[in-house]
Amino acid sequence: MWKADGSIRPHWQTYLDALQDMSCEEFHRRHTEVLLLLREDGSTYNIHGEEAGERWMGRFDPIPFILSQEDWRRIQEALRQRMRLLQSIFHDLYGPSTLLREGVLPLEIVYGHPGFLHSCFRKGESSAPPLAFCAFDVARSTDGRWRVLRHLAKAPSGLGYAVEIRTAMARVFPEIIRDCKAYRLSHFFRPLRTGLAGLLPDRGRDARIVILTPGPKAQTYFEHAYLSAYLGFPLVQGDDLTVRDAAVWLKSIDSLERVDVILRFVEDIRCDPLELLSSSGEGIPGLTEAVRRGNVALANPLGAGLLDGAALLAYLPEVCRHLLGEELLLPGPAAWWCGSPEARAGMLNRPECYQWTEMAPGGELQSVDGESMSPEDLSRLKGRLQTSPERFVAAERMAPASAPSLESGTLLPRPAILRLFAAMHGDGCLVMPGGIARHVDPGAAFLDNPSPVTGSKDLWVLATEPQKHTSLWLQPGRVEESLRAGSILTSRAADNLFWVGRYAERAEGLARLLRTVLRDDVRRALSEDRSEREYFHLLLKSLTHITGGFPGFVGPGGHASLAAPEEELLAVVADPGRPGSLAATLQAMIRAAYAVRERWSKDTWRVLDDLEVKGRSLSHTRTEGLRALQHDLDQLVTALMAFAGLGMESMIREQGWLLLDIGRRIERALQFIDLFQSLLVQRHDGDNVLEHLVLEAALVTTENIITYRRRYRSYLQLETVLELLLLDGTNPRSLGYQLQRLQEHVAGLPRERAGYRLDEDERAILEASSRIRLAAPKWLTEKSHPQKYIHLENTLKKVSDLLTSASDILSKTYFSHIQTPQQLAPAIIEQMP
Amino acid sequence: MKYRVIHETRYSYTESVSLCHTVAHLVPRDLPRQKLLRTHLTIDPMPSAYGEHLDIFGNTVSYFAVQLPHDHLVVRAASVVELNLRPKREGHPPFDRNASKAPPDSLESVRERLRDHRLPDFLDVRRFMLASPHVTLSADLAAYAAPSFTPGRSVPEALRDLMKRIHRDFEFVPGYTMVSTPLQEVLKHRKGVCQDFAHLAIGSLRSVGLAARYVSGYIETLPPPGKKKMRGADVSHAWYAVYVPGRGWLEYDPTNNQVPGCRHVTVAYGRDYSDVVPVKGVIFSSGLQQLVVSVDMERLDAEGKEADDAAV
Repeated sequence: MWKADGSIRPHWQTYLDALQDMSCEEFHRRHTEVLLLLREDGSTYNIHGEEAGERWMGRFDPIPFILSQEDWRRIQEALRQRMRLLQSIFHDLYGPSTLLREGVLPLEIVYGHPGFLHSCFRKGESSAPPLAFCAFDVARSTDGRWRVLRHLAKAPSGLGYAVEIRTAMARVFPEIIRDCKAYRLSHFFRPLRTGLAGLLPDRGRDARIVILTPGPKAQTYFEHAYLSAYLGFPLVQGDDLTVRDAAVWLKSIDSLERVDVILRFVEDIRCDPLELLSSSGEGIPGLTEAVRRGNVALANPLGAGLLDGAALLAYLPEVCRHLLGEELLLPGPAAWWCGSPEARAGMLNRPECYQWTEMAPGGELQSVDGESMSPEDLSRLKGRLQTSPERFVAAERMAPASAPSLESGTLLPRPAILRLFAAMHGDGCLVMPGGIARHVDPGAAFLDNPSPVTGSKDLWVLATEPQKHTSLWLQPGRVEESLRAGSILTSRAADNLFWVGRYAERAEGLARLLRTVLRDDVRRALSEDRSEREYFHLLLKSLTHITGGFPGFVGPGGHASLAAPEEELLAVVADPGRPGSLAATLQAMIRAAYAVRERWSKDTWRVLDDLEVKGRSLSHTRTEGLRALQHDLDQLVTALMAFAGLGMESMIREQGWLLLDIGRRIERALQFIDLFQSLLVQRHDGDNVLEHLVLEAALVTTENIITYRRRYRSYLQLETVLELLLLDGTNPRSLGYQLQRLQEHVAGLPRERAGYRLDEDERAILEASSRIRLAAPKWLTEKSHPQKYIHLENTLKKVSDLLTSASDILSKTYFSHIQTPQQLAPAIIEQMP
Repeated sequence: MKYRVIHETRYSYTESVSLCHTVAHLVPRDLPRQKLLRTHLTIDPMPSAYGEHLDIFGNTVSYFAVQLPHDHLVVRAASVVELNLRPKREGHPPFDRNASKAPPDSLESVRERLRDHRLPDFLDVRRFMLASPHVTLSADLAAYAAPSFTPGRSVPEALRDLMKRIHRDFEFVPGYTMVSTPLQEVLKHRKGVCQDFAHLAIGSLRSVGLAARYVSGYIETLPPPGKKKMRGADVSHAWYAVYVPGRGWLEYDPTNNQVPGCRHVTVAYGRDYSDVVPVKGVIFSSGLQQLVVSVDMERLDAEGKEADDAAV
């Protein structure tokens, strides 16, 4: 920001003027707003409770990194050259191999590198597929020169974060971005999309592009989901895809859809268990062959991971001269591969002067700064340099220059590294005019990997002209195709949506029941009044039945728990390790929702984020806080209702919604059945108080009390209660209603119909629904058994079995992950001498 | 000498398999000492997709997929090859005496020439000097090879000695090792099958700085005198080859302590077993599988060839 003489660099002027005009409070308010936006996006969310996004981004810093036009031009030119260079290296090493034949590159750093995939080598005419896009780390060194530190061709990360950060910044600081004339990122994404589509030309239709992610467990899953939503490409995992006729197909719940281009965030060797890493079990068997035949294009192509090898950096300037006949622009720090004896000799004497990268057999690179090593480590390093020098790369130590960073209210100079992105577009190359600037610890060296990132921020590239809005929307005439692409529902997404529905409903039902329980003083369990005590015990037992948390209040030791219910109650509410507990159910719901992250609107995700926070705070509940929980449960029910409402009001009624709602209906029906079985089946002849308490609890828990009072005034009896709770098809909170909706929903699912015959799942649901509709309240409440209403019990049991089997059939039919890939047994070659 | 080889790999599954992708190295190579006359691959059930390509080593790779539910898979490769015991050496210019002070076939001289960029087939030799998935390099392995490389002994002599030592030191025990058994274990327990012996030799030779490759093929078994040969009695086999500048690739079969000649048919070569697995695949099934492999290697004399060729 400042020049050596203390004056301000001109490209910072506009920004600083704008800041000057803003009060401290205003800036603080806006800072908070950006943080909130980022939080709500869920970029910092991770299912393992670790803040993966935070680990990638570090703390968010609202002060942008500003790049002047001149600097940008220089960097852009250098990155374009690098793209061309990487492209040529890739082509050469997987084909003619002149770099090796002519001794420009040592064989060891290519064939000895785990990123070199032998099965991707092209023998003969056909040449390796093109590289599509790369990320680059760029920094200004303290001597003022720009340096390209390294490139990432293998699953480059940060693109999604960059868009997310810019979107938030543009919402909160719109006028400043405009006044500074910062380039818009959308300039990059339109061509990126056409560039990707162009990877597989002559399709005769629009290319279908998917984003391949390792899944929600991956550290950068958030950005894969974000990019999927932003670019409109379906997000898939390996087993969503299948190879048939040596082409790649997306498994949707009703058909196979041809895939042309895969934007890949899965490591090369994990892409095909047939020809690459067989033990991985991940990936798409046969993918390599589909690529070989030119039936699918991968961005980046298989084998591109080779380019990320640290040792290659040592040879880049020479390779550039050799392949392009040019000098390397903005070279990185000097580096040496220690496998070459000449390089090694110099290193051995002074290992503390270098930055060391070791190539582990798995391919991971671990970097250490020689200066920070203890004398023992240094002597160990020297030893290993003697025995296996080919595993080490030494690089010149060099510190990145600083940029202003906001820390506890003051601007401090902090070393910064820029993450930039470039994509091939036809024969040209496009560099994204923006990116992420990441702050690293002072003194951290360049090649640190993983970089100890302390903070991340937006990167503005200043244009000379004010920036116009560019739309990412496609041209008319292509509408049909893109509509189709967007509505594809993979069986994995179907599976997750179904379970989001079930868990959301389970959480809601459980929260309502807990409310009913906690409405009363839990001491009621010890009440002198037999009826009251009995009622409360029934209620607690129903809690165990519904959560499946046996023994709980039911099994052995149940008596003790009933006498002092606090501890068991607390577990049912707050213990995330206890299956079926409210905390665990919410967690499972969020996890399923996160696995289809790209399908939720911003508003919906905000509600989900809120639910996640509420779920987490539940697990901090203590026994003495149980009474106060009422309020939290109210809020939780409201949030869950908001989520349900968003589903009803803002989701298109296509297959995805259908499965979500099927999940909901099945769950609500099963919960009602559990509740009725524990509360209503038992007869309480002669104990009016108990009977009334129980009926009222059933009405309250199912949220039917108001309707009941309005309809039946103050006559409380089982027959009318059953009429409302079981039979009334107009009551969205009756069992009958759930079954009717289910009947409609399953009929709407895609199926291959053979004549007029119904499928198994349809039959099960039709039977369940009919059984309820045909059950007269009088018959249900017949007193033909001394202790219970036996017809009611049998009917509920039958309906429950039917629903469970329907649910199983649906899973098997639509969520086809049943057959898992396995390796053919290898033949041991054993010749008897 | 002319041979017909029939290599049948039969998988049976307890549950139906919905999809199967397979990659096979079953087509014998054309080499100076071996001419491939004809070859035919039969797959049952009929695959929906089939393709062939050359891998980085020049082996023919067959890819196929069976896409309809099936309960068995039979891959039958039938080939006729002609072995020539005195092949013309190609591409190995005579040794230049002025290039090195060491005796021409000494270990130092061989290693020095392996490093030379002017070496013919530079890449196709040097790539076999590096570690590979099943072959690690280590001081232990180098130490195992060391006693064979006595001062003054030529490399070909040393190589014969190493083969003899492996044959003597290692016990042939089927089932003792698996495909994934590390070399260190084989070295420690001194037991295994031909593929382990080949890997072990390759590992120790690469550890002393030589180029060695894995050869996958077949060997003819002769029936005991007076007995008739049984069908399916032959087997897949593995041995190794070492590159000696000026002489080319020299082959060694430590399992039988012999230099492969008129009884060894080469299918493919690579860095190790993982590059040339005869049949490997991924199936989608929840059941179990059973594997039966049989190999028949039959001499075809000049007269009988017509009838027998027709059978291929």
